Amino acid sequence: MARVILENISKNFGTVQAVRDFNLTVEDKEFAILVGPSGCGKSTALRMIAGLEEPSTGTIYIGDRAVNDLPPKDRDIAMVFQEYALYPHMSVYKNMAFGLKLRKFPKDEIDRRVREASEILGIQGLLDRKPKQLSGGQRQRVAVGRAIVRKPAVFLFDEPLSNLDAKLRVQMRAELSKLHDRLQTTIIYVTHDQVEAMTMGTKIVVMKDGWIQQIGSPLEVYNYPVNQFVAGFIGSPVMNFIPCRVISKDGRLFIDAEAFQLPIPEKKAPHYQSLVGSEAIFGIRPNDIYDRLYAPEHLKGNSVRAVVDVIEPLGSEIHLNVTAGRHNLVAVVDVQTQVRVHQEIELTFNLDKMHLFEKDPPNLRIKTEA
Amino acid sequence: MSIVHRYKTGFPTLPLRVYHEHMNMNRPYHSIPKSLAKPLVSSEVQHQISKSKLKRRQQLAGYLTIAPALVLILGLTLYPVAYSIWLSLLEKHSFFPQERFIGLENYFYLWKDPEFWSSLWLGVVYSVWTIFFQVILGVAAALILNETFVGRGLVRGIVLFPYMIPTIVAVILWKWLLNDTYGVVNYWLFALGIVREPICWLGADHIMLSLIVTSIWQFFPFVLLSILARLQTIPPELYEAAKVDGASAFHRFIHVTLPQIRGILFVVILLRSIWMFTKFDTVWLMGEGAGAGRFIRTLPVYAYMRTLTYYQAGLGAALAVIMFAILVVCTVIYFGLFREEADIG
Repeated sequence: MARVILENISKNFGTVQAVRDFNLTVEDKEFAILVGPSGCGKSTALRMIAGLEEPSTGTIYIGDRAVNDLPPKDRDIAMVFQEYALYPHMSVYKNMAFGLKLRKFPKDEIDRRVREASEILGIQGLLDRKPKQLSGGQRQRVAVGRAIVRKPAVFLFDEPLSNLDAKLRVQMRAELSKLHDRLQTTIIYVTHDQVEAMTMGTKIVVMKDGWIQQIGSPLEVYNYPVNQFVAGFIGSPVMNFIPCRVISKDGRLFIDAEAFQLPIPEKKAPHYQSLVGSEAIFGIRPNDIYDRLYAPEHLKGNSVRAVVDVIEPLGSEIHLNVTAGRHNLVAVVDVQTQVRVHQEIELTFNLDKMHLFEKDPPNLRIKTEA
Repeated sequence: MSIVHRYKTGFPTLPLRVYHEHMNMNRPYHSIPKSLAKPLVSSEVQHQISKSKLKRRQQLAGYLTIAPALVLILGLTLYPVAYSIWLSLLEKHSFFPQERFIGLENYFYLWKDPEFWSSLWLGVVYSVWTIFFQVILGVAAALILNETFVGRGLVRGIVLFPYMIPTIVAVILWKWLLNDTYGVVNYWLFALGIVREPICWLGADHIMLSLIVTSIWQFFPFVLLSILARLQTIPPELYEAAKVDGASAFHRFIHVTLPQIRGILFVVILLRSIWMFTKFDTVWLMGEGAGAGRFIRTLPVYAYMRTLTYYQAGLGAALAVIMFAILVVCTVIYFGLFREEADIG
């Protein structure tokens, strides 16, 4: 049961800066997720917490202790690896018992813990098997089991689900959430999959090129991304970005994207006042674009004509790739929508959910919330 | 034309008709889909007959295709062994054609021959020590060379030199180093005050030690290379998982590295054992001209001398057969003892 603090952490590999100026506090019992594209430094950050890499600068605290100089075994952590890293010559039971054995736990205590963990994970029947004889999902469970028998203060997961097939991944996601609920232990979890981050995390840390971009709850990060990168990384399908110009007409602000103009809602207008006359990036999530026929009544004014390029019916909804002017957009529309490829469709934008980002890097979002 | 030719050389008749009619292509008969062949068979009975015929033909074709390999194996492996055994039952001069069947007389002779027992013992001493230290040194060096350090590639190359140097060069080199009057080894031992008078490394008392050292030096890179290759395939996460689990460097070696190299270690020890027990060139060159050769006269050297110094081909063959029998028995026991490793290997 511990809080984890990373203070001014950086890590250089030669001239490559893998992690820069990293400050993060993970509260006790939090399920924190480090998420970002490959090479963003998330795994390096995790490995520094584990003690498998040494930070170039900064201090790491686990509980109340600075652990920089402690080897992994003394940090009271357990780690689950992407490739499971089970000892191939040991049975499942021995794999799980290994850490306890090295720590000289009494035999009956080891046995009790292994059986308890295997029950939680539903692998009681596999204890005598070798890792080779297990499926990917079962191996993953054993790897998790090996971590939980130790009852560490912090669990570290390094992309544990990325070797599983899609269906199993969904299932394991729910199981890991349940496990966190049951164990009430701090978890720090690394993934490149924003869905995992959104579904499991209580705190999401979005990273890019070694920098933390944003720290927040899943909904904070989803609804109020700090910049275009976060907005594009979190959420699926990806948010639409359209270069535009903010103009003022008859005392109202408009988005001018050449092919179409859209009125900025009154509520947001004051925040965008400073942008009038300059270029920006208009962002809107595919879910906030409707087929006009099925759009809520009060939105129907904000319509744009577009030509359908691709139709992806998913059963519960339809994804449309469309072209409006010279902009490609993705829209998630109602299943009843009747369209054909190359046909024109009238789309309605829910502009209450719109974002504007600065044109220049780091493409900060213009805040409209209080 | 080629179809007809094949037909005459015993290849199948029925399928040929099939592809004459349906394919008209020069293709092997077994590539004809069954659905094409079926309509041609008029009755169920005929179908059954032709099916078994087909099977027999396929079997024949199978035997024919492995025949060349079989002939090679029989000619190059089984025949020489069988001939050696036959030879060991004869009293025969190595070059002249006289020969006389004497049953197991050669073996009875060797049973009472002190020279045989001495060479058997020397061979065992030589093999056990060289194998033991080759493996220890090879594994240790492999572990070191598996670490990351500056100039690793260069060191990895250099360390293989002893194994690449021709035996004659290696032995001459070591004989120089160990020479009692002008050898470097004695010079340094003397200069450092470790010995008061030069040691006769190639004399009766020390020649076995010298031979063992030379052989370890010459052959440990083989062990190193094999083990290193295996070490490089061990996933690094296993070591990281072990570190997190609390394993010390020693524990990591015992619980991660060793289980991973057990399979290859099994094979390497087996090969080295066979090669050391039958090692001739290094031993012969070391003993030749040193005067103390008979103190390192192992079984292969003794067999050579019986055959080509005393021209007793029968006796030489008997020695070879005994060596062969010892190796077979030891190998079987070895496989029995390490069944699990044999599976991995």
